[in-house]
Amino acid sequence: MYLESGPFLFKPPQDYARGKSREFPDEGGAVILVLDVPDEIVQNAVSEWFPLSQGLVQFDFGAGMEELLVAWPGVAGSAEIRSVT
Amino acid sequence: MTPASPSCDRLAIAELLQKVFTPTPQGVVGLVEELLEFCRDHQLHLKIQDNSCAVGPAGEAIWDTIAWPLPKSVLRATLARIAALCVQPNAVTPYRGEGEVTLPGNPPTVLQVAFTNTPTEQRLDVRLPAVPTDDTANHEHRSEES
Repeated sequence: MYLESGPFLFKPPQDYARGKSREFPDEGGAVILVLDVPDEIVQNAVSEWFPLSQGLVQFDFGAGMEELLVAWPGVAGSAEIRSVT
Repeated sequence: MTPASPSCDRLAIAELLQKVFTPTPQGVVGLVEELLEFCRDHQLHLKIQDNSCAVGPAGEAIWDTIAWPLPKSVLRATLARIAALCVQPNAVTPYRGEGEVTLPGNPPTVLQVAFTNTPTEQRLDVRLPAVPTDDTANHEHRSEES
């Protein structure tokens, strides 16, 4: 998951979405799913390999995933889908 | 630059590779930078597959294999960063591809990379460009003259 503010050191989200779409051409095209994850859950995902300064949030079990799953109904309910042209 | 050679200490290379896996403040981005510079500085060929990490002198047989010492999510992010560095963006997707990565320097170094990054398979192959032999260099020179 990217931070909306970047930096995008793993490709901009639009490019990443287009790359995924090329890999799965029958899935309706590229989109970006925007989620508002509470800061305290994001902080649980921060580690020495995944500092927020690189713009990437990696939820793993033991690193924020459990908390994200608990909060998921509310997080998913406020999700925004942005199309990528 | 410290090219690998028959006199190069294999143990030292293995120890240096372990150091690459020591976290820096740059996280995965720093790890990728260290990994690619490790290949360039020691003229090594690197293969990561099946949770193992193998190195050997460029163009020769693999010397040593060590276990990939980091979580799978770090490996997947490592491969994603390498995909982002490829200079042929349309030749790669987040899941697979082959391309070139340019490391800054004087002169810059172009590394050839191939990777797969799916939930079930993670693979990386980093190669230095082939060094032209005298014969091929002379042939190219003659071709330019003709």
